[in-house]
Amino acid sequence: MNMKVSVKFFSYFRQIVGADQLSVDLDGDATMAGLLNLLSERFDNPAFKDDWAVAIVNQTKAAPETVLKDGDSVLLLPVLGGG
Amino acid sequence: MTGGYAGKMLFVDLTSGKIEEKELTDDMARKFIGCYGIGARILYSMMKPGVDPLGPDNVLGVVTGPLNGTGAFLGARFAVVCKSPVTGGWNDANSGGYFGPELKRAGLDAVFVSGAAKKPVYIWINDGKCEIRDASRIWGKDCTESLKALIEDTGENRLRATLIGPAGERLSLMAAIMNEEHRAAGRGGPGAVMGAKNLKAIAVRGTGKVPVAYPDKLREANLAVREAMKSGPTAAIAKAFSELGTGMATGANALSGDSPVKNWGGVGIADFGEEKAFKLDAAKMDKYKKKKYACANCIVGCGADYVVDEGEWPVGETFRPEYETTAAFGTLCLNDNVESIIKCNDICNRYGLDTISVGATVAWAIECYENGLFSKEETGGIELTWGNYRAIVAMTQALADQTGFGKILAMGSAGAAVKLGKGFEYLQTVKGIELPMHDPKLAPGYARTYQCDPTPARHVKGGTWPGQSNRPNRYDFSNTGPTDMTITSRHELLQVSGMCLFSMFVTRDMTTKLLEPVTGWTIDDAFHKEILKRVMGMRHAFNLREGLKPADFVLPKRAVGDPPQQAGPNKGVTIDNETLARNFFTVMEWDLQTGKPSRESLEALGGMEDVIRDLYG
Repeated sequence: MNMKVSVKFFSYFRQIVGADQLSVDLDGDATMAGLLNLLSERFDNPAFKDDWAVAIVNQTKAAPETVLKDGDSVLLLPVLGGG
Repeated sequence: MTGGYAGKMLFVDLTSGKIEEKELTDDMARKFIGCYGIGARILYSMMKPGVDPLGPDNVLGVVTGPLNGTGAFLGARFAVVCKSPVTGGWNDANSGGYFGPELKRAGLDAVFVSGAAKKPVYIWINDGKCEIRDASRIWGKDCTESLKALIEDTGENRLRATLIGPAGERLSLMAAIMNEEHRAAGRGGPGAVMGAKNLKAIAVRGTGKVPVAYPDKLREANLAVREAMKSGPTAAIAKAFSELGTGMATGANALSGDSPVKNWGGVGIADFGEEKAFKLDAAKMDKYKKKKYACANCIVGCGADYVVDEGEWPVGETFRPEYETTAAFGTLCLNDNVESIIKCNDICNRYGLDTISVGATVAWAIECYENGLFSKEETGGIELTWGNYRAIVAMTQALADQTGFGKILAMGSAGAAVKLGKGFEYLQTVKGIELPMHDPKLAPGYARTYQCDPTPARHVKGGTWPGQSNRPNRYDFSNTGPTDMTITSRHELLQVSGMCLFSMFVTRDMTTKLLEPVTGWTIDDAFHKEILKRVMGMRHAFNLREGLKPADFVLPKRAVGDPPQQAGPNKGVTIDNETLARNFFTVMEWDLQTGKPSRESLEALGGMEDVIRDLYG
C-alpha cells in the first residue's frame, strides 16, 4: 500500500533539496531509514544518512527503524555545534 | 625558533609604565604551544593566589597561537587570559578576526598586562615598537567608534585592535574584549578586567613575516584542505556554513533538543514550535546580508556584514548574529522576532558584551518576572514576559547603559541574584557563568565540559563530537573516560594552536595537518594527550591554587534532566554527569575529591615544577 509523508527541511537540507517541504510517496511499511535512503538517492547526497541528520516525527526523535504512517509529518534537521 | 613563533613576549606594567620584552623559548612553545596554554603557564608564574580580579595584581594576557600569521587556513584564533571576576578562578576566552596574525607579524607571540593606569590609556605596538598612550579621548566610545578613534590617533588605518566598550569601562561582569567590531573574547568577564586597568585597547600594526618550518608542505596541506571542503564527506555542511554561518542550524536546533528553550525549562518543539523555529533560521535572517565576512586566512567565511535600514530598529551597518546569540536572545527567551535579535546583537557588539551571558541573564530575569519575583516597578516599567521582544531589547539596552534595573543585571544573573537576594532557583549557571546554548540532554559530553573544564559553562572545550547527539550509545556512561580524553585532547590542541573550531566541519584532523608543516613537529595521539594533560592541568592548577574544588562546580538541574522532560526529543533523559566527571578525572589522573593531579603525572609531564611544589610541598 502506498502512502504519503510530508517532509520539512531545515538548514543545509533545504539547500540540497531546493525547497522547504516535500510530499514523498513511500511503500506501506517504510521506515525512517528507508525515507532517508530514498532522499539520499533522489538528491544524490549522502548528507541525509550521516550522523548529523536527525528526524523528528510527531515531536519525537525517530530511530532508523521507526515505521512511518500515511500522513506523518517529518522534520529533517541537522544537529550541529554552533558557535 | 620553532616555526609559527616570533620568540618574544611583551610585558607591560601599567602602574610603573615599564615595558619589557622576554624570550618565548622553544621549550615553553613545545610544552604549552600557545593561546591559553602559554597564557596559563605565564599567569601561574606571575600571579599570587587571592588577588582581586579587578585589582592591579590581576594579569591580562593576549596570546597568539603558532598558526597565527602563517597563512594556515582557519588559523587566526587567539586567546585572552586572566583571573575571572565571576568565578574567582582561571579564565580564558577566544576570538577570531585579524588581531592574532597582526600581533604575530608585529614580532610578538603574546602581550601580558599587569598593574593599572591612573587614567585611561591604550597600548600601541607598531612593528615591535611599543608605547603606552593617552586614551582619554577614546574612553566612553563604543567599539565601532573606538576603532575609528584609534586609527585617527595613530595615523595607521591598517591597524588591528583588541579593545573594550562602555561595558568594560563600567566593569560589567559580562563585558567582553572585542576586535574587528564584532569578534568577541566574551566569557568570564575579561572586559571588566581590562576596564579595571584603565586599559582601553591594545592596538597593533605588524608587517613582518612569520617563520614556517616547511612552507611547501604547508601550501600542499592548505590545498588539500580546500579540496576537502569542496568535495569531501562534509562538503554539504561546509558549504552551508560558508553561506549561512553558525546561524544555519538555529531553527533546527530549536526543534532537535539542542537549543535550550524558555530559560532551560521548556521543550523546543512544544513551547517554540516549527513556525517560530523557521523564522530564526539564518536563511531568513540573511535578507539583511550585505556581504560575507571571513577571519584572516579563512576559506569558510562564516560571518556576514548586515545592513538594517528599516523596521523598528534601523541600526544601519551591523553584523549577522551568531547561533549562540540568536539562541540566547531567541529560543531561550521564546522570542521569534529576528529584528530584535539583530538589535540586541548590535547593542552587545557596540558596548562590548558577551551575548551568551546577556541573553541568558535576560531570560533569567523574564522567568523571575513571570513568577512574580520582580515587579514592573523594579524593572522600570519593562514587562519582562516570554517572547516580549520589545521588552528584551529595552532590558538589554538598560543593561548595557547600566541604568535602573539594568545596572543590577549588568552583574550577570548570578551577581544580580546575590544583589537582590532572590531568583536563585531560576539560575542556569555554573560557578556564576551562564550556560551556553547546547543541551547536554541531547549531547551528554557537554555536561562534562560545562562542569569540569577549568572554565565552566563553555561549549567549545571538547567532551563531545558533533554527531554525538545522534549516536544511540550516548547515554551509556560506563566507560566514557578514554573517548572523552581523545575528543578533548583534539580540542585542546586546536585551541592552543590558534585553529578555528569549525575546522571540524571542513576536514578531519585539520589542526595536525597544518600545525605539523608550520612547526616541524610530529603530532600523534600521544602528543595530543600530553598537551591536554599539561595545558588543562595548568589551567586547573590555577583554580586549585585559588582554593576552588570540584564540588564548587555544580550543573543546574534542568541541564541534566532532573527531573526529566515529559515531551520532545529529550523526553525521559537524565544525564549522569557525576559519572562523566569521575571518568574524566580518572583518565586525567586527578583526585576525585580534591581535584589534585597526581604527583607522578605532573612529574612525567614536566614544565610544572612550581605546581608540584604548591600542591605537594
